[in-house]
Amino acid sequence: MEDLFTSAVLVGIFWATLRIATPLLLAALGELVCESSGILNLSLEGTMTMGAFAGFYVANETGSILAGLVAAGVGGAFLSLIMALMTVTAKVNQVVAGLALNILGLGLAFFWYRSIYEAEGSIDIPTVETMQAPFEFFPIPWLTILAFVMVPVVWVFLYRTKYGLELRSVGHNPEACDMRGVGIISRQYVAVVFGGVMAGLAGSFLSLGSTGLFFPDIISGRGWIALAIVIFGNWRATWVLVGSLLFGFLEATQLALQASDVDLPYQLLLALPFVLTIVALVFNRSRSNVPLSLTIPYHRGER
Amino acid sequence: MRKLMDRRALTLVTMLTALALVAGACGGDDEPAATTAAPTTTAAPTTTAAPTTTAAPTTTAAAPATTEAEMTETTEAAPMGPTELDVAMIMLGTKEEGWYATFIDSVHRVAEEMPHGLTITLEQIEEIPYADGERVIRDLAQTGDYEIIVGHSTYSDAVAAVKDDFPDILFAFSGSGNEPTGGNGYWIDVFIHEPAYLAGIIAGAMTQTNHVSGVAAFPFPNVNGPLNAFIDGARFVAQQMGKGEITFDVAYIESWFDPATAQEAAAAQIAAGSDMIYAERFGPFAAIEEADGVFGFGHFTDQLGLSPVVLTSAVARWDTAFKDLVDAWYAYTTEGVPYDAPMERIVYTSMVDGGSSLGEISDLVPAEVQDGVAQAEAAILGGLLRVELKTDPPE
Repeated sequence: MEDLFTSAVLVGIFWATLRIATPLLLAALGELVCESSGILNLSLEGTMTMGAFAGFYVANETGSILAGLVAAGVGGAFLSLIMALMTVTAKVNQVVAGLALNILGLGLAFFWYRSIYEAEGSIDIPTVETMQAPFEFFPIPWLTILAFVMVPVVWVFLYRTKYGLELRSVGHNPEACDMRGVGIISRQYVAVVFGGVMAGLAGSFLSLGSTGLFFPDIISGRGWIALAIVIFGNWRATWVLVGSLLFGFLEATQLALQASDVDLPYQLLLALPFVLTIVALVFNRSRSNVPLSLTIPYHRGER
Repeated sequence: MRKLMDRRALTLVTMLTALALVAGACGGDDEPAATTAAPTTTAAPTTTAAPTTTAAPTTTAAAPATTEAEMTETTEAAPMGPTELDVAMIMLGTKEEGWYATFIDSVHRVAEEMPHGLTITLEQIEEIPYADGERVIRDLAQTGDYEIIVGHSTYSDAVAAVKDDFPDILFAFSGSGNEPTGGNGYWIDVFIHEPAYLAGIIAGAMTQTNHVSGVAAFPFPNVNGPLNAFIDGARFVAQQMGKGEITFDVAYIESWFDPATAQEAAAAQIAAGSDMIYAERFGPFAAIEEADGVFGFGHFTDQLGLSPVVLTSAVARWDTAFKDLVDAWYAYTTEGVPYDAPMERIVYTSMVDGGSSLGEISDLVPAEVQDGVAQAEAAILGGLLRVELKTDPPE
């Protein structure tokens, strides 16, 4: 037991928590803004894969991580723009559109990857240099720092600015906004695309921020976890942060457990965040902050 | 009414997310099927139509006759065996994964030898979830273009459902977790515990902290076999050198394709004091590169070129397995020898049989350690050293 509580292991868990939380936090914050406008974007997994691929490809071509990050944002924006077209303009069922785009994102990323990087047997797989930590004593890539900086930014935007208030109003009561002359379509477009950019960056963390590799399955369910974190966080930025850190901490701890002599089944810790999400969902039911018009397309003049 | 709809929508979203969570937790794979054409498009000039119907009288005579016919392009050749063998393989993941990459390597090596004078082509289809296996295998069989179809993972259910409808096609599936089907469905497997043992010797000799680790996917026989042998090799040599007890731990990341988690698992092991990490998955090398004095070992493919911290790799070879499939198909096609797959898996394990080998060794490994490894390798090949295959999770 004592080898779990050495300072090296505890410090390791701390930094690992922040790193593991990074893609979850970025994607969940973007999804929070998106859902606040009344649009549920279920295509996070596909959007993150697209971001991971676009970032990897451009970084591999140009040798610049910054260019890779820009590409990841553009990749995410591209997919979410299709989402916005389908749900805001065409008013397609958001759940169906999200799931369909998910498949499109995963498929396109893999198709492009294979078109560019032909593999034949055990070749040396392509890799990129990963993001460096900005300071020696701070062993986390700066995309992690950006993710945490985005928490107060999103919070201030949503709860302390006029635009945030308008966006949340669109998500709660689009009829009232329409009557007040607050444009719904433009706000929803911006929110959905913002969510896409954040998801793209989140995906690129996995390819550029940590592993330096790209595989079509590299997101491995993190998009779905980010969606769960928004629900767990009851659509509030601070609780989204708590949820991301909780997921990161439990994952880091179970990995540390497996590296120690403690005989606790690690599967228990793997399951815990999901159990907590369901518990949070049940207990928050009476005071849910869910945007009231989430998933409901707005048709002007229809009651 | 509006309230009710809201609630319904929310319930739907909640249910979907819960479903997605389950899917995510299971490592759910909702990737669409994607097909990539095999780049080996060399089509041999076929002189006889329908190779499956013409039976050559003797195989030995047929093989050279075929090649000669090809070279001189004579068309009058009498009864003659097939000249072409088209193979299709489906994979759960992508071609970069060692499990698939090594099979593709082996098919290419065998194809170069042109067994029975056959020109062998390989069609590779990636990212086929288990649930789609039957449909894809049936589609491939129905094209009539392939004589051998390999579901290169746990696709025995799919093969069992399809194989009887296409009795002329040889089907195969691979790895643990399958069920034997018999008939024209062959269950092949490789275990690479012998080269993993040799890699363990390097780890045991070079560890400074007496702490050795493995990062792996699932507690699965094909995964546990090399992990157990790796630690056995490390413990054996540490005992020989009087280094004392070696601590071993393994992290299962519960996914076949999640390099980011594999990387964090390695980081946790390094924090716990490990300095030799057997990377059963992609990902750990990124964490190892960040640390000083920590080294990694590749699994299944030779990964020396992937990272400067790699010391060597335990490499799998499917050559013999694939050759046996080709032979079975050829005997059936030319002589009518019925397909008779054993009701158990055919395991190609030992380095002697060519089921595995040790990859290239890094220059970072001291010469005397390399000598020791060479001795142990010779002992294995000479039958003097037997590496035990243990498929339970390591203690």
